[in-house]
Amino acid sequence: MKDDFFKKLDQELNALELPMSEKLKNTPIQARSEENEAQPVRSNRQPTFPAWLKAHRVWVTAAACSLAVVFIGGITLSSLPNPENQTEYSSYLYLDINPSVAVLLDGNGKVAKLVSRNEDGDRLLKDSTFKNEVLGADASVAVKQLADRAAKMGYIDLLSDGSNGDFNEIRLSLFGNSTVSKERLTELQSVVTDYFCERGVFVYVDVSQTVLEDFKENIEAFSVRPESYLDYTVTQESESISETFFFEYAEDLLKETLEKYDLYTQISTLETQIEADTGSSYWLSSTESEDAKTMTVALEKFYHLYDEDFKKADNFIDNLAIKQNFFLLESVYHSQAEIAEELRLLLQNGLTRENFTLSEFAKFSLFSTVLGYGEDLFSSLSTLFNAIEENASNAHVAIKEYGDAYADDLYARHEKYFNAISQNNGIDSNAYQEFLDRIGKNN
Amino acid sequence: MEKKTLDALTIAVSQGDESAFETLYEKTKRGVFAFAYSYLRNYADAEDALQETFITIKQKAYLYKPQTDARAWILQITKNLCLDELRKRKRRQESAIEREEPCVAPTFSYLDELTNILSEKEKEIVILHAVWDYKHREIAKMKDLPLGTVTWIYNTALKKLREAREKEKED
Repeated sequence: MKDDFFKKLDQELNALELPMSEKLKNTPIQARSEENEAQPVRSNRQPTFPAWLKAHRVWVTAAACSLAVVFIGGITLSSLPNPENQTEYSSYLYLDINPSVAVLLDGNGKVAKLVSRNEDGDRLLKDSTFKNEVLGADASVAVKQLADRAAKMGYIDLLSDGSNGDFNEIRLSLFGNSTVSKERLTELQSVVTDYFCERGVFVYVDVSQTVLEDFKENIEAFSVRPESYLDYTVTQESESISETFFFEYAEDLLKETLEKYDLYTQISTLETQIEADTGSSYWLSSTESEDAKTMTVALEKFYHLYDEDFKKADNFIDNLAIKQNFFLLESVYHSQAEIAEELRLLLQNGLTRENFTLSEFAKFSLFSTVLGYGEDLFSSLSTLFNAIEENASNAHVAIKEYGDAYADDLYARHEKYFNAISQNNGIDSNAYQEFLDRIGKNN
Repeated sequence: MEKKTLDALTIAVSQGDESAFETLYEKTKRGVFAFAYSYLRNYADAEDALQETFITIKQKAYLYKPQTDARAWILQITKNLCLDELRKRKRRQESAIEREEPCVAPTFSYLDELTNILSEKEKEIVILHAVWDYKHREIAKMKDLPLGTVTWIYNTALKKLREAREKEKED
């Protein structure tokens, strides 16, 4: 219904002509100049923090949550002088996965500068070794390196089935002056598409190019890290910083903790079904039972993402020690069923100051502890909230540290999983064309 | 509507580029119109709001800060104009229904459905997401709402639209 409704809404709007009125046409543009340069508005208010947070200092130390995983990214290639090192840029390419990273290329098509464009971009480029590997590389290599890194940080859904509504999408937008090359963009598109096809992951790579005559003037805006929401909040909205970030982090960690719980529950249910299926030849070969196949994937995921020692279905069934470990944990997980559902409902409604009270927080804290998820983040978050209690500046630093810890956590968990999963059979060109047909992108 | 393109175009407009303004108008006029219509529920007023939005953009172009979200800037201008118009209506004790539409005004099926069925907040979130290509997280930041709340409101809105469609089919 969603696609259909919005498609028709789009058609309805596209039918409108809406020409400019004479008045609009005749109104001159008041352009930026020295006389009317916009002055940033700064609040003179001293940063203060809401009373609710101060009142809950005790439980704040027990809080744990994570930054959101948003799926956007960016790369830049451009032919303009870089004031820092006089490198000539030739075009600007935006790679949209989720982390936004601008990649500025020199005249030879090599990466001259990498610029994060958002918080996920910060995480992607946090590792200086990785960043140095990309600098100086050819654009086609850089695109692959960034896509690979994004996948290994969990920004690509490896289990997406490639159906309409469940597929990964990366967008490559190339900005530049008249020298923008369509062939170059197509080449980059193929590099990323082939990379994921070889690893058996359905990813649609959308491309677009825009020729900007005033590209030279705009490159400055593209080549710097935009003010982050965090910075904006700290400088202009410091009164609400604690509340905004607390709920954002708490929601993300709760979501991830519930995902771990659900994965465990799925394994437990499948195990019961397989045990009950006396006619199944699962005991001989896990490839002959749908339940067993699903179980294998779930166990792999659990093993790689959470380091639990019951990796493959065959081992799981045969190895008594592993299975005993599972049964032991199973009772602990089952004890949390009621709390899990309460927290799920809370998450669905969105955490707010009104519904995420001290008792709700206590439930979440217990739930997270029992599941053993995010212990390092938990500790990092305690630091964050103690810092918020002190002043906005400390909170700013602590939030960035929390973001760094989260970046490390993402890479540590997802890299192993990506390497394990992407060893599956690749996607051949026919299957990829069928995928494009399914999602309506095969022109 | 791609954010990067609109940001780049708005920067160019702030530097006095008329052709960039025309492109910006072409790329965003329908989105601005839909956004205004959701408030004003009247074709003529929404069209006026569209024109006034872009007149304001020209007049305030120098105030646009590079590296900020141009879409948010444009929509904030539109929203302020719409709220002004609604305040004026209130003073005039005039409702949208009482106003006469021009005889050539197009009729809407889907836009009206969205406007009439959804609450103010639902409409805004659906239009930002579906017409302006905002991601839920961006909306959450823009509206200072938790992400879960935005997603929840969006899904509730879709459910309402779905139910209305089904009811229409039954009738």
